[in-house]
Amino acid sequence: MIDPVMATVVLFGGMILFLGLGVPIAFALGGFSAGMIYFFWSPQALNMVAIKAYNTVSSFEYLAIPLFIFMAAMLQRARIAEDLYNTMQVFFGGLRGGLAIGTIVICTIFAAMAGISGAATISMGLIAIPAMLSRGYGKGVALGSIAAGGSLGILIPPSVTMIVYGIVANTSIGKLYAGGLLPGLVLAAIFCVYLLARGWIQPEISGGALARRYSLWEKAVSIKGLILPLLLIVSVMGSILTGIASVSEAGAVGAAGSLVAAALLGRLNWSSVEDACKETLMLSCMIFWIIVGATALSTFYTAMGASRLIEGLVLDLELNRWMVVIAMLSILLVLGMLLDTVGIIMITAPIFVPIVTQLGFDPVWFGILFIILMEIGFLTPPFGYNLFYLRGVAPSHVTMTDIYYSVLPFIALMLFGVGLFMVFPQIILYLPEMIF
Amino acid sequence: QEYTWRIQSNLNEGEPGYIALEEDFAELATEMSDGRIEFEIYPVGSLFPIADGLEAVGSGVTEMAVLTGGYYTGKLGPIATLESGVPGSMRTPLERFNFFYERGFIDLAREAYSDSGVYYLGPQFSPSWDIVSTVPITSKEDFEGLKIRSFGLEAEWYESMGAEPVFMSGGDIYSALATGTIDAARWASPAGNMNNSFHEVADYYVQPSPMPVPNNFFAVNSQAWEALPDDLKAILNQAAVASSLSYITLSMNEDANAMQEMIDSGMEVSTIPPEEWTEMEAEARKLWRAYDEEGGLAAEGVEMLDQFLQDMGYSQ
Amino acid sequence: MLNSAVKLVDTVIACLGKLAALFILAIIATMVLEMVMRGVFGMSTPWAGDVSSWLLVGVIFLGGPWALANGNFVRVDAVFGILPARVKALIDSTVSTVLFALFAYVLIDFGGDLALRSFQIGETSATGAWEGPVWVSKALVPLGTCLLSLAWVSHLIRSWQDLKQDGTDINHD
Ligand code: NA
Ligand code: NA
Repeated sequence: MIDPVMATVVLFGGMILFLGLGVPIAFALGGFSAGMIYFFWSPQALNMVAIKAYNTVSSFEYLAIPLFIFMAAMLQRARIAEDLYNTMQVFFGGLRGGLAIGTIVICTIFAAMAGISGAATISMGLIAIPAMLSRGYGKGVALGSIAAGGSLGILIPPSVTMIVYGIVANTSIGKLYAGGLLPGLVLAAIFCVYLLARGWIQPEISGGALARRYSLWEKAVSIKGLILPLLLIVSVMGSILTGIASVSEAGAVGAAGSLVAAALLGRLNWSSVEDACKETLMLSCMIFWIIVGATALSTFYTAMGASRLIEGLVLDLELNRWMVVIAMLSILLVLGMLLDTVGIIMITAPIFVPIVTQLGFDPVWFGILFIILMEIGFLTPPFGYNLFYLRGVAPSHVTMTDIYYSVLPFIALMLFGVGLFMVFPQIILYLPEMIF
Repeated sequence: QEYTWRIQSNLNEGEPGYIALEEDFAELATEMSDGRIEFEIYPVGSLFPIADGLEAVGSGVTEMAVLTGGYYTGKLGPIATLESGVPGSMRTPLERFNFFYERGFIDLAREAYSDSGVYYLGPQFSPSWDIVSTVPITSKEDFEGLKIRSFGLEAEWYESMGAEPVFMSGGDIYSALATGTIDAARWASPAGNMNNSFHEVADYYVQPSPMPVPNNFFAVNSQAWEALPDDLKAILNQAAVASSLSYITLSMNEDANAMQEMIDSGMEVSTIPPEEWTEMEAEARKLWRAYDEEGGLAAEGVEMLDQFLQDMGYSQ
Repeated sequence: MLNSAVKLVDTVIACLGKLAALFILAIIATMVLEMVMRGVFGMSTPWAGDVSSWLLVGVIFLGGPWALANGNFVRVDAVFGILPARVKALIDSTVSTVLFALFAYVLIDFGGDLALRSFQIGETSATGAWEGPVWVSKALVPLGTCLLSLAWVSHLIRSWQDLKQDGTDINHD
């Protein structure tokens, strides 16, 4: 059997090599895992890859992904997304970086509608990238704000990731939900302040060229562009809050709602529906084949004793309690470059949480920091879902290098947020303590 | 050591069933065998989803796993349901122990699972599987119109009392209870329910339990089993029994604590009176007795169970 | 000869893909139906959950080959993007193909066994609420991966042909 340290080195090395060479991501992950499993686990264990492939693709929670993509594709085809951005332009057009800030706001609302990440990033990518690029925004600002805004989906409830974490780490899901809300809003605010500052320093990539103030009348007229998107948001969130839809089903409300909205505007026709279906299929295939490969890889790593490796690393630390937490978060940061969220939770949460609790820290506070590190993992190369999702939706003149650069400042901002929440734990703990 | 096996648990680290697997199965067997067999234990779902456990163990992804029969009715038919335990039958773990090991139900279970390449080492008796609810349930009538998350035979049972069973995956239950998509959910014992935070979103804990003495089971890859010498086989058989008993006793403490904690946090116990419950159990018996018509192992199982209940002096 | 074979494969893949894309409407319809049945008529549809999940399997595995043919299997193109077309084709024909073959082999062989086993034992839905046959959707894993392999081969042939003709980029997107 392979030693877990060795496994880590080989995994990292292989991933960097194959992804770097430009092998399609899904095949790099899946093929590399298959080879490793064959040699270091057992040939029979390859069954796991097929079992998990079917199980992942047929799991009910993941249905939200194609449904929200369809909603976005339909909103775009029916030019409702266009109307929405026109309205935002009228209201924020005088403000450099205004549309990027508007995008963060919509992402935050999206985060409250969907329990699964990917749904928000892809959907917003579909809608917002062309809208921002065509209104004088640079690639960096447009891509970065969507990648970062989209990652808020797992921090702002509902969140499938928090449920997985809560069960594995034996932490109250309600308290995690309550604990994630304020940090989610604070992070969104941090992003907005940053975008505002950047708009001020670099107007040329923040819509500055097209910046102008609009009259009150223009603003009043443009409000109609908000009506349908707002109704759609109300019906999706309403369907969850009133119990008509489960969190996984809410995507269907959004998808059906987008068809109704298009019909109300008289913009519903077969070719646009067909087109939206095609786009949904293309993007869903991209995502799911990557998820299948990534799942195989993290399962292999788990089976090779990743938990024991992490346990050894942490138990050997003879540091003060704060340094232990920082070391754990650093491990999460590193694992986030390599593995998918569920894999990381499975490997580390059972080890970290008892130690953190023993050191006298609040498990809800740590849980939220953990979730934020998972969000950061969506953005860090070489393996970052949001990077791949953006690659999938961005126009072809956007390169992967553009995407990497675009997320760097946002990773820094999120790490800053983590520091902030460590210094001021009340930002996390205020709501859970008030509610429970 | 001569053998190293991977085992996937049906639970997460730290839960009583996981501890019972780790300490009272794995460590005990290693000790009894003088270190000739060792185990590495993985939490639920970390290597494969439990719903696909038969394929995973049968094909040797891991040598062993703790699985739950209720997931395999679609693959093996009603015998899998009977193996997990059915409502309206036994009430204590010792009765179940008797039924499996003395009455020989374990042989039926072994036969049922052998086609999947799985050796059924033995049951791991579990604490009760209970209902939590957002509305008080104190009578059979309260099931009328109740949207309850459940599946299989139990779903049919609740439906026969006018409930509307809803199937949803574990991850959706919390939010669904919170928003009212469902009114009730049948899930685990008090400690398990609290671990899922259900007490935060459901005010009532329904008693008596519909599944007072269910069980999971130790599944071993057939080839891995055959490769063992007889003395190791005997050791694993005994370790399975030891683990099973220790799970029950460990959970007694955990469940009592959890129950108290949930009551302290405002949860209320909602009790169905005994006479009414007896009537409801009779309804459940009708449902599983109908498995008789399927013939084969299911019919044998029903007959065995009926005979046992009769011998124990339980009503028809 | 080779050309017409490639064309045939592409056509079959596109037809199946277009069909699979319509499954998305079916998923929406099924889920909305379930919500209406539960919310308005107070009864859960026993098959809705399974059918919508199985349709998604169809979208991903029957649609995958079409997505591949359309260049939708993303790569990290930080380096790849600036390589000459010949090197790109070379990487795809060697490293990518080996990794692809490993992945596809596992899904076809082991996924095929899973589907076959499901068929043999007559596996029905795990919820026990209806008798829906599971093997149909399980069979889409090996079937879809076979088609995906054809799509990959077709992509390789194309990329070398394009290279011969005018040295254009191998991505068809
Ligand atoms: Na969310
Ligand atoms: Na990452």
